[in-house]
Amino acid sequence: MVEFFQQVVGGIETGSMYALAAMGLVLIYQTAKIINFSQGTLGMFMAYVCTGLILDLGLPMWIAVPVAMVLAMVLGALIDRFLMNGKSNITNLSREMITLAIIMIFQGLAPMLFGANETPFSKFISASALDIGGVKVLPNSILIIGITCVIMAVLFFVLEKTTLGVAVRATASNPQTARLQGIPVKMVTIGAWAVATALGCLAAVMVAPLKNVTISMMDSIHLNSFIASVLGGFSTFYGPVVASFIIGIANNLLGYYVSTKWSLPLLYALILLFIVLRPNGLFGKKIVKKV
Amino acid sequence: MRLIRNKYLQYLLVGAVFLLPVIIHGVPTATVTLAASMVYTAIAGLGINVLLGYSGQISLGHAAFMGLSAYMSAYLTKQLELPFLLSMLVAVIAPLLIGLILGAIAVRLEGFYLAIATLGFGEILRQLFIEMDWFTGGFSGASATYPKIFGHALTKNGMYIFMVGLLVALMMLVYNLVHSSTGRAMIAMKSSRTAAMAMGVNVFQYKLISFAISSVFAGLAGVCYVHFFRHVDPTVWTAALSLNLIALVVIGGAATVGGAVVGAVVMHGLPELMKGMPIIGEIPGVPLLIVGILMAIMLIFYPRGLIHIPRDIVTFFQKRAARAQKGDV
Repeated sequence: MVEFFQQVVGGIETGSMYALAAMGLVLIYQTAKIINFSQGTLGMFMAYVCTGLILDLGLPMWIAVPVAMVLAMVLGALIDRFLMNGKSNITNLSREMITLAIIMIFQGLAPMLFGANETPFSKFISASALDIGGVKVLPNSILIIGITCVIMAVLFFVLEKTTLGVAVRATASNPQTARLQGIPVKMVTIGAWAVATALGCLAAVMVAPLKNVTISMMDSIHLNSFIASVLGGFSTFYGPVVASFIIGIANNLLGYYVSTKWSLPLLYALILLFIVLRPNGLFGKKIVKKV
Repeated sequence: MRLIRNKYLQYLLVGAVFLLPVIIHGVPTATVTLAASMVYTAIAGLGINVLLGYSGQISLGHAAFMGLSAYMSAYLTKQLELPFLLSMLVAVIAPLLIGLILGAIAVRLEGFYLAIATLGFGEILRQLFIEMDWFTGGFSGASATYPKIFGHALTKNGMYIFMVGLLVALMMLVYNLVHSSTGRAMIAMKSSRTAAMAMGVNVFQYKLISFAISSVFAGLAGVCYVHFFRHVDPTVWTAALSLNLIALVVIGGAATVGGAVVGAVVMHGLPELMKGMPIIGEIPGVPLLIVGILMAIMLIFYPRGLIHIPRDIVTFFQKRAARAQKGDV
């Protein structure tokens, strides 16, 4: 039973990284109606920037990470303003293709600016594991899970309880009507891009100690956050977050009880089956299309 | 003029241009390799264009189909010593069957859900490539030889000529397909599924057909890959390749036969061109960066695709000429 909880805790830790990335994807999808394929790459780039802040400028980590997140917000806002809406008649398909172009741009920029070597990245807290009823938990893991929970709580509070949240939800449900009601839809999408990029940056910084800072460090997180968004349903804000934790925990449990090699393919197969049976995800509602 | 407008002749001309590196003496073999990359990507891109450009379905799993065929063809020709054409047939049937299954899934899924479902499917296949050592050689990969066709052993150039021939044949096939009732039904389905259904288009059937065609094309591309490069490993068949296939179709021009070819040439040619340049090529990442920037600029200012540029230039001058004439009167 102890092993079971050990795996669950590990799953929650990876799940919280997926959740941050998935939240970013859904924010952009809901407000701008596009899938941001560059989320992972932007996160990777910002992790490099954060490493640069720590190693070259000598900033302590608790300053460097927030600074990197603010820079990520600026980057996200600039991308939305100048690449996504640089011209008025860009179709959504083109926008998604532009996010592919952004992947190329930043995967080209990263080795150019920071060199092609892997850079190690230290944990937030390097204290040794705590023993909670036989389950060994690193303080760093607790911090990661804690930060994720706080951010999710703040985001959901803003989305559900504030005027800003109403504006975001109105834009999500119908941008045209929202604009007629006087909601600055453009500012909402810019804000969504800014917050999403910052969330991607945070996810990347969290994963950095486990994988080192490399060009491909975010690939698996990005992929799993995608799959979580689909499993949870792109039409809700909370669905993808719940699904992220499910994927994180299920992957660990399948790995422990079935097979480490086959846990991920098995999980994907199960999710695929689920999507076929319930095409709108766990929490998604069926969208009725009108002619 | 009419002769130039003949599409078949145009496709043959494209084939002839592709054959130049083999015909002209003294062209370095690296150029042939580069051209072969363009040709196999163009073949897969043609299939994606049928799927995305004409019938409006997104798939992020086609790279894995290419890989599946590549591995199968390598296994069948090397381990079972089947003749090349037979193994090619078998290797293409496998992704066809999977394509049909995915097509059946696609009927229930739309847009992004379909994209992610195919993405998951592709990742499962890729994991299989890594784990099934006896079949794929695991991480180190499998090897293949230049094929023998009707007892005639092909060289590197011979294989390249075979690929170009295949590309031209497939371009003609796609042209005929999209100008048949099947093609019209697909286009109707893309613009409005409900309207197409109301007009009596069997959406289920045509989604299956478009998935099947694109899977077969991806399979053929995979077979071409493995028998030209004579080696295949799991690092190639990632979701990034599937994304690139979609990107090159959009860059070249979606819903045009030549779009995939133009896209493939640009996608492979541009980075190589950048690498060859004196100063730019030596800094790591610059070629990728410049291709990315060009792609973004293209998509923002010219989203219809590169293939429309010549015709747009012609109409531009025709309009100007017409305006000038009016001015004279």
